[in-house]
Amino acid sequence: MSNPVITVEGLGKRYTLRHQARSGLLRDKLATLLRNPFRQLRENRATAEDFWALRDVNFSVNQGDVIGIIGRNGAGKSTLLKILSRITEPTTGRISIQGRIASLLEVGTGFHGELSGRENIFLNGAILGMKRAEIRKKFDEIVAFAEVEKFLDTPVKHYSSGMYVRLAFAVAAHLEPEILIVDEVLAVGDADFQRKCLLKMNDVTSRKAVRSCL
Amino acid sequence: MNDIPTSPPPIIIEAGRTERHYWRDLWRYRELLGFLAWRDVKVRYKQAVLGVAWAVIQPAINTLLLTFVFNKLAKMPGGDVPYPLLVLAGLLPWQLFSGAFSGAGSSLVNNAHLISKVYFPRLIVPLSAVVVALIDMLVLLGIAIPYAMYEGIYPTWRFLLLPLFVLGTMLVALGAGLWITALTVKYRDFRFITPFLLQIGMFVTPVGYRTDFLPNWRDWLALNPLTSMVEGFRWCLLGGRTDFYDRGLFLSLTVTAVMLVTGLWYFRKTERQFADVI
Repeated sequence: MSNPVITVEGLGKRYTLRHQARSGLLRDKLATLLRNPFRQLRENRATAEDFWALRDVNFSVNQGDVIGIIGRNGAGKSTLLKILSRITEPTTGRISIQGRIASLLEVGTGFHGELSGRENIFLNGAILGMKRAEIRKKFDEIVAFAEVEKFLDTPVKHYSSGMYVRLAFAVAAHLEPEILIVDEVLAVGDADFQRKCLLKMNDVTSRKAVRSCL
Repeated sequence: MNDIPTSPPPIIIEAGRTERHYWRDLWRYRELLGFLAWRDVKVRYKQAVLGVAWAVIQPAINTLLLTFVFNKLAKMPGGDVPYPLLVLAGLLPWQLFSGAFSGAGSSLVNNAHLISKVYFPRLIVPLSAVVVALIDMLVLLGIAIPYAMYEGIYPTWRFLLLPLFVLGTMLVALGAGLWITALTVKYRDFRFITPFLLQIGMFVTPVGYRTDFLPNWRDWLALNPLTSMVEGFRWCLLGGRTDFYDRGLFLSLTVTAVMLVTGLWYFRKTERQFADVI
């Protein structure tokens, strides 16, 4: 039996929906609290409704598996990935992950429009969890992959949207995690670039990977 | 077993579980801290004609303003130190604090796109605000020292103790900053409260006046942890021409420790929900 890299048991995520304008504003909280300290508790219960985005999810992923999660809008795919990548915590259940994990829930997370392409490569790389030395080593590769050599020192706010996503994806594609979590990020660039991304993905998945294309 | 010889222990994700590797993660992400601070410094003066000069113009105007109000209008004595220099030495820690405090307060909200998309110890974000404020302070210090020498006040051995007070001020700022950061994520009201708090703070901190000439108020002022830091900065920079109040320092450190510990506790407690409420 091969050893599972990811084990998920009884995972659940509950969000509380608040109806009416029972906002979390401090003003409202203080006001209701002062007006009637006991009523507030009762009302909260009456207007809040639980919504389970995920409930009782169980699965395990073995080394070398490539897994796609598909489902309708609102099925909870992104929530699951967010929990797996430790952005938000589950309400119930337990996950055990073995290995270095990286997640791409969005391309270009943390890109700053005022910074140049070169600077953004370093910033974005660091945000995704790469070491400075690692980024430096792969810098040329990233630039070549994104095909933006000419515009390296231009602030990315002047980039065309195609260039922008190519650069963003290039950084992400050069991460070398043991587990990679991907959320609908492959839909970038023109047909040629998409093909290139898929090839790169195949290359990455020669190691172990979890991947979800939505 | 020899598949993954260097792999770290498994990451366990459970509801309500505090990260066991939090502090190790914080260390692992130290480069990100540097990058975030670097980004904020770099981006701030983009498209501003005067650029970095603003880092000097603002405190210069503040110094003149405070000198005018406290020295000329309120007739506060400056002792044997030129009044503007007294104010400038007080502004150094004050700017460090206020920059870090307001920066931390807005940091998580400004970085909301990061918080909801990537994992990293959230503590990095307010910490980077403190680093940015430190860089600003060092720029100002580079102006203050030549100015003091121009006025005939040269650095003495006391100057070597300045890093301790810099560190102290940063801890005060971090303690207060953690509270305001966590509160701002949940209650945006604190965005409006922060500037107001800073305005009050500027007057209850002896930036524009000397505490050794106000014996009746000294203990009260010392309850503000920044008071001691301001006194410490003056004592180090002005070659001992101002008095240092050691009982005040003790009070200040106690208040700082309480703020820091409770701030960390509250931040860590709310941190796990940041992505859901931001």
